[in-house]
Amino acid sequence: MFSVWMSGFESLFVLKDILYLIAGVGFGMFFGLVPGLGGTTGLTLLIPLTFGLDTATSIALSAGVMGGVPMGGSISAILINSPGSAPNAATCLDGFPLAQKGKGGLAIGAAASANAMGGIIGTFALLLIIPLARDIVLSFGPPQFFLMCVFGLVIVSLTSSGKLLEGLLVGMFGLMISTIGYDAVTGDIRYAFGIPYLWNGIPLVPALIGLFPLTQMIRLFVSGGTIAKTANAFKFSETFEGVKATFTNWKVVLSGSLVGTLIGAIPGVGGVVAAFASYSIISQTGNDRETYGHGNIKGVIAPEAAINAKDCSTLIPTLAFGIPGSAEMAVFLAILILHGVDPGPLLMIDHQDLIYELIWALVAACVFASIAGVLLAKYLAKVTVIRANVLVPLVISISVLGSWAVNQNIGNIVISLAFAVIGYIITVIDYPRLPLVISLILGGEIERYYDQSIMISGGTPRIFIEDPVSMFLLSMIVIAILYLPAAFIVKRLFKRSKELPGTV
Amino acid sequence: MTVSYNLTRRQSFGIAAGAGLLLAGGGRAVAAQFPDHNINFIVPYAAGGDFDSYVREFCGILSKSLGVNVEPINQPGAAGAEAVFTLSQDAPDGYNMCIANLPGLLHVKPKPGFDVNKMTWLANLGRDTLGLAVAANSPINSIADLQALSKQRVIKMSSSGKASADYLVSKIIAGVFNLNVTIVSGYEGSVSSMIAVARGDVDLTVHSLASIANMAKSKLMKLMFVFADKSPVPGVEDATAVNQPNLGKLFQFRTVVAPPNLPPEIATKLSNALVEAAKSPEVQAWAAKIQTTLYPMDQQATLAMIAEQEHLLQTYKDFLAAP
Repeated sequence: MFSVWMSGFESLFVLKDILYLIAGVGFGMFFGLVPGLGGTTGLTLLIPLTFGLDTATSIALSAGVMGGVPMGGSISAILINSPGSAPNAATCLDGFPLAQKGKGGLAIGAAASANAMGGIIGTFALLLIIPLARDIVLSFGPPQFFLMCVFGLVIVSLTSSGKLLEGLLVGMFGLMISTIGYDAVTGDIRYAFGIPYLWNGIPLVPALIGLFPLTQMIRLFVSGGTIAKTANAFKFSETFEGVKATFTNWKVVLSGSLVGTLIGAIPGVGGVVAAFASYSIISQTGNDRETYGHGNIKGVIAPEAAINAKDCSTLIPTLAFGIPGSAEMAVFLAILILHGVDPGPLLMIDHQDLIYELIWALVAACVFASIAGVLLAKYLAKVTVIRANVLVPLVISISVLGSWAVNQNIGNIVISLAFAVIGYIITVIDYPRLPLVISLILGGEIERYYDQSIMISGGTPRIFIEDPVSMFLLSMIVIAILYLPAAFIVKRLFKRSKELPGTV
Repeated sequence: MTVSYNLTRRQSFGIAAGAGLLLAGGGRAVAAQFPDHNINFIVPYAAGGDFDSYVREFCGILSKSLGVNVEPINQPGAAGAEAVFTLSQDAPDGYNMCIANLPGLLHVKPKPGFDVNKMTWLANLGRDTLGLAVAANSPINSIADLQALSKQRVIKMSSSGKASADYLVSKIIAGVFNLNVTIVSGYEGSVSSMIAVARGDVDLTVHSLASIANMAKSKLMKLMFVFADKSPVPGVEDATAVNQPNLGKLFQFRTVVAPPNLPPEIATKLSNALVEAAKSPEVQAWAAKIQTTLYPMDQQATLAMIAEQEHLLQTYKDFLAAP
């Protein structure tokens, strides 16, 4: 086994492949940076270029893009509250408040290093669990996916603790919106009001562009000034403070990477749940809970580590069965097929060299992207001190263009503007935005997996407790629901037991 | 440090509005001579599948032969139907065409204003033979086994959605062999739907022989029936063996369609370019690589094929109308 790992590592050391990998990283960072573009668009544009390349070089180029996108997405999430890709929405929660405090460089440094560490840990975890790939994929069907999605909703509701009722209301609103369009199982159209654009539901990326960068720009337009409330002069050392913070908080990196690896291995759940699960675990289990959402560096490290670790383990369903774990992976599959590499169980036997080269190429891409992120932080962080009257029109234009570019549809711009208004209202009345995001992402999936499960079981909900994986997931959901009340009771009991000696 | 420019809020609002107008105003100029700008080749599914692969391969060849960029655009939704419904409302100028999944699309419930026969059918590119597959350890080895099981309990089949060929064929075999079937649809792509069989969530599924062969190699599934007059796999039942010759005429077609009322000269130009591309050595090599069967048909042959498929479906109309 070790010799196969190393042969994959050695095959990466070809100058041409390294150059293509670095070019891919730069390309990926750009596509991650611009809201709405993302890795799927980037990889799709590269498909014709790969026609003229050999398989190994195409893999190096693709891995570069896939490794560069999360770093680019983190930078825009931190600096302008605009998640370059959907999972980066979790990075906005503490990354943007840090940028507002004039600590954008610190946040980018932490994100870059957490990205690299997450990628490295995720890779080693992937190397260990690859032999179990077939069993993992076969353990998850509609009932287990349904429970995973419910788990995702529950953990996000935990992040709005203190505003549970508001969070529930916003989440319900998101679930209602997610029912617009086709029912994936019955094929019926709901709530489209005769508008063909809505037949396929509310598109996620335009909605996110509305909820994050456009909402933020409306707020900045109203308040004036700059994103950074304190105009600190940028110090390069600050970025290294961020890198240092990642290593100081190694437990956060480790937990984020493991969460990302586990969730990424399950097809159909995706990076958003991984990033938010990682964030929720850290923000709800520490002693500094109240500081999250206000610029806690651990709130940047946890989702970033999970996002890159997830990218590695998403390869399991993609390579082992040809089930793309994400849209990006779907395009990557197309590139592999075009080069005569058939994803599927036999791939693990026939093309081990390519698999391990891909894994190592992803690690190298994460490291290159992180180095580029650290080096560029000084210049990129200047975005936060550009005055509103310049930044607002610029970001609005880029965001609107990005929204349209998703599939060149003018309807996307309308959706982004509508969600910008919704996002602005939600922030003005001080309700949480996250339950809306997660219910938009998972609402359709929950409905589909529930319907499929019930059809498979012949109408009985017993299917959700019939196997060990479902029971485990159900237990996790119950633990997550009971966590807050239990923590509250334990805290009260401790408080009382401390008060008692004094009262005697 | 503050980077400052002396723009008022009204001026900055003007910049944003100007950028917006610039984007919105970039509409298509009316073509004087076709084609004079990029053509969109729409894939009705997400990137990565067989239909996506077809379009991307053909785009490169068509760009050379037509002298303009032919760009692949993924527009997934409604199991492949949404893109064609939307296409029916586009201008008939030849700058938008879409690959369609036939005969699945012929059966899907039409949306207001959509008529499959009013669309301009340009050419057929591929034709894959379909098969029925069960889990590798399944006791089902023949249609007779399936019928016996159906007398004991409901048989479950997986499908990617109502506009797909697998859904339509599932309904047909349920009717033809008098099976008590539940179709669990909504699986994203053929692999997910086949994994459902391997996991034991459902009993069987309909897919192309190439897809089934890939899963069979990994010992997760086995082929039990082929929708052809003569099975290419020895020992596997075919349409002749079960005395249902019409089942041998059911295929998965990959057909290219344009909006209604496309001028004949533009339709002919596109049709010829598509058929020529399908015969090119590059496309032939690619097809062999991904194990798909190219089956180029010009406009007339395509219309004849659609009429034949519609006639075939008409013979099964009672089964297709069943809930």
